[in-house]
Amino acid sequence: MYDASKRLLIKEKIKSLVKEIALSRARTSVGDEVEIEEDFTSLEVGQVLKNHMALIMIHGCAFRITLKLHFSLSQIQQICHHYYGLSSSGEVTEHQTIDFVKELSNMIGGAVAVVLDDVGIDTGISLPLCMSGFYEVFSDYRELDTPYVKFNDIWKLHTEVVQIYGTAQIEIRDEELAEKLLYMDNPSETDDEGGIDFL
Amino acid sequence: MTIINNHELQVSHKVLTLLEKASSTAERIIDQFPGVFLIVNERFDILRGNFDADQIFDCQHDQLLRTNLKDLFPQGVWNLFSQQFSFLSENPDTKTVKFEANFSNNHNILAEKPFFWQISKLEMGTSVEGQLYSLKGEDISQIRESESKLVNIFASIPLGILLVDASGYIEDSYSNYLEYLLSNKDLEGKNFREIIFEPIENDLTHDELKGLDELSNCLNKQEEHFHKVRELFPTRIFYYRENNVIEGKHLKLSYQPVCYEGIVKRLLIILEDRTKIIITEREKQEVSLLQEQSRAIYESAIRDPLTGLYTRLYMEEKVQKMVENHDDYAMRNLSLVFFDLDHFKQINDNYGHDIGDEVLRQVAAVITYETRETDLAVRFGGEEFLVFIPTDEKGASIFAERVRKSVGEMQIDTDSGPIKLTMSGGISQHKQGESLQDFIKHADNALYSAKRSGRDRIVLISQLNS
Repeated sequence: MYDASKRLLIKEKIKSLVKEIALSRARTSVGDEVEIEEDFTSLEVGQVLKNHMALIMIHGCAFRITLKLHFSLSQIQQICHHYYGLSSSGEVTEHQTIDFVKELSNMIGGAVAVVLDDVGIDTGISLPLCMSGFYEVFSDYRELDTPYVKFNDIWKLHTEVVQIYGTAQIEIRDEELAEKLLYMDNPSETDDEGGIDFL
Repeated sequence: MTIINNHELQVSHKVLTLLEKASSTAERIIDQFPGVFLIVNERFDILRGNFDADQIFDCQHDQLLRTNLKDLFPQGVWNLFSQQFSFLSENPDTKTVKFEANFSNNHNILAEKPFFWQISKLEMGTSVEGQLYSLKGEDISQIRESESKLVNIFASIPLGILLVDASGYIEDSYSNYLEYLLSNKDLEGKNFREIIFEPIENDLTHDELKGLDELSNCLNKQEEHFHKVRELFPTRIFYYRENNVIEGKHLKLSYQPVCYEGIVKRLLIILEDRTKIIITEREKQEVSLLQEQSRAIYESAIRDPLTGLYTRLYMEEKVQKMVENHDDYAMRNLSLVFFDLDHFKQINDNYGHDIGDEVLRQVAAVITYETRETDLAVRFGGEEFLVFIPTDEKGASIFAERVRKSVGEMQIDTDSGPIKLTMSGGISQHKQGESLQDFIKHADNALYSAKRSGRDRIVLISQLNS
């Protein structure tokens, strides 16, 4: 039987890691005005939160993280035209808007994988994917402690004009291996502050 | 970090791109659905909406997401929706409910429109959202408008239309006019035979009553049977109630079977009010009869009953016109032949008036035969005949000789043997300005000369003058 307090620490650590990296990368892409909000009473993981969703999976022997960024096209259009060198949001196409969020999710996933790699947890990331509609129907968000540990997290990245909901479904596949995370340095110190790299 | 083979990465990327496109295409199809299309969870939060829904509920597409359905409807309409959702929830075997509810978009600023709604359970659900429902709404105001126009047309046409059920009871009536026709309200639920035929049952013939029985028997039987006996059904009746014959109506009835799997399940009975048509037809017949009678009276006044030739009365009116036409050069020539049968008094005296009449009839027949439509033959009196011909005296002479010769060849059989006839004639040609009396007088003078010269001949007045 694995130590419950240690398990709790691992859970908090990985959730915090994903959130912090998400905030850091969002600030890189959108601007320093991006804030993160974590306390929700009306929303929960597994709900359809926006009309579109960018999805990426971070997968290794210790963890499998399904990260989803829920967004609306009209809001993202208002903030991403600078990255395309366009003068107004009206010039941004739907395709460019979707690519922007997919790339944000790619940067978050990539940064999480790098941090885990650095502490000796071998991890890879999938290609980002975007879906729209009532996209959450195929997900199973029930939390588990056995036969493997599964839990969820939800937060919101926001500025005055845009809200992006982030949900992470995290599975601990090997708790002893995942324990390495507890000995890592502050992730913000190891961050790669790289620019946007479109697929 | 695990390094993936470059080809595998490219293939995975390609597959994901294709899946993403497929998903996007499917979602765009949903976006373009006509009418309202929504996916809601069991708390009635909207998880998906199409573009038409944005317009109909007057909100931005992003705003629609997670809006609660009940916030889009007035309380009364939402109560109806709520009942339908409850029904679906309480009946696991029921997958879909359909209903109509009026709805005004634009926050009740615009007039309400009729919508047809369909709520269906979706097979998939999530542990968080719970049971999902699709909701479709179609604006049926145009259909209702067309329906209303049709109903108005039905109600206003001067036909009574009844739908009779398999038991012979009126199921539906489609025309306001019907109530007027049958002087009866609230027809639905009543027996059609009692309503239409009972008030006049004493007036129906035996065959019509038999046809009525056949009509009742057709219900719930094969359609073939209906067509076999349909000729027996009463199709024209005079309908009145409570001895009020004055306000009675002539109705034409037609019957149309409404069949299901070859069995007559309903009858469509169409009643046409032909009262005005029949009254008009009768009036026309009366007018026609009066015209015929007037014509007969007139004919008897202008036609000699014995010979069929025109009388002097008609001659004065008609010949005066011919003379005027000649005076006005509208008619080039006008001549008159004045015939007189020779020794006709002796025929009457010797053979009797019957033979005398027969002689006159046959001479008149010869004259009629020889005249053209433009000529006018008149029995002037006794055995005297005048024929006015629009030609000169030469043409008149040819005609007169033909008649004289034919009369000479005639043979009238009597008990005392055959009678031979001769006829004399005098001809005058009208001169412009000459009066009718003078015109006749000149022809009479020529006739007199023919008589004096030995009879059985034709004399022209111009010969006398020269």
